[in-house]
Amino acid sequence: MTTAFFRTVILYFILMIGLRLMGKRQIGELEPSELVLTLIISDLAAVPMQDFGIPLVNGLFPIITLLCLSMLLSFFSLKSIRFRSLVCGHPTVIIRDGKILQQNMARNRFTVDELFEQLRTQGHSDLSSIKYAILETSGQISVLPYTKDSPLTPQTMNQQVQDNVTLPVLLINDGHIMSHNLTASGYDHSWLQNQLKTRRLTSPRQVFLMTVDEAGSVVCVAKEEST
Amino acid sequence: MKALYIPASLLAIILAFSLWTGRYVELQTGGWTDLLKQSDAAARQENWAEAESQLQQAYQAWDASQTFFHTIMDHSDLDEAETLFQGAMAICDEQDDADFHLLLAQLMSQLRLLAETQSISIKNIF
Repeated sequence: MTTAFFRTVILYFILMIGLRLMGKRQIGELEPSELVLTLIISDLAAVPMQDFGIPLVNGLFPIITLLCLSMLLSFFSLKSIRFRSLVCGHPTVIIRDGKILQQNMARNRFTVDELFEQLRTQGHSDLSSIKYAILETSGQISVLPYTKDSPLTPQTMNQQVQDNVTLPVLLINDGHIMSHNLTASGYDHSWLQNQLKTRRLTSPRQVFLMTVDEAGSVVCVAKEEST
Repeated sequence: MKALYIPASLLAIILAFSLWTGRYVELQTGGWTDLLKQSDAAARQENWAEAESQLQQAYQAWDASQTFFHTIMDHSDLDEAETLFQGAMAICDEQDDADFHLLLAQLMSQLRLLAETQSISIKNIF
């Protein structure tokens, strides 16, 4: 049992480091090579975790080798467009001017059912409203409707609007002061204490969430009383 | 360039370690097999004291390598060789000529198989 414990701990951390190196993408957004890598790695990790007759390095070495190969593949993909196209494929137009390009769909083994499922998911029910639909390398479809069917924006209406989008910065996260964010926003602890005092709070521990944006607007959510 | 050098270096280290391991296992098992052959020859000449001494030497060297061997090889293969070693030592005590030769032959064959599992060959890769 101790063997299982230590092997699991070691493999868990190796996998976490490996997946962290792969980036933040979700399973559904993985490139084909990344999906294959994830599936193989999970299988490789499970075997020495359960079978104590197999040395741990028999699981670790293939995992590290796969991660290294994946990193090399990413490196060469960044350096060469041809290599990237070979490994990840390339986007394919499957609808142009409202017309389905059947050859492109067949080439990517993309069915009509899958196409309509994705169009419905993105709120498009009428093919004639779509100027372009592009099958991305992740398997998702990007839909570009005709301008007349696009959502109305102030720009299309030639309207001038004031830009009031600001980025809120987290100052208190579940009772913990984010000192780095506080300093980076140009505030200090005494300012924070004043903010708390104006909200009849005595300690940051009473705060669930506090943010401040570039315009200086503070949002504070106090912790709910535990029942 | 760190994105290139780090994975390439790691791959090179793993490959070098694998090659070294294969060579190390081959040398070790070769040494033990030589001792077992000497033990076998001594037993054929009814020199059981010499046969036991050579066998003990081989077993002690085998036993000393077990920690490292268990980290790189399938444990069931090693357990099988260990059982054969124990069997050979028991038969050597009884001075049973026929069984001793048979067990030593099986043990040497098992040691050869251990070395083969770590060697780089078309047979192993495919």
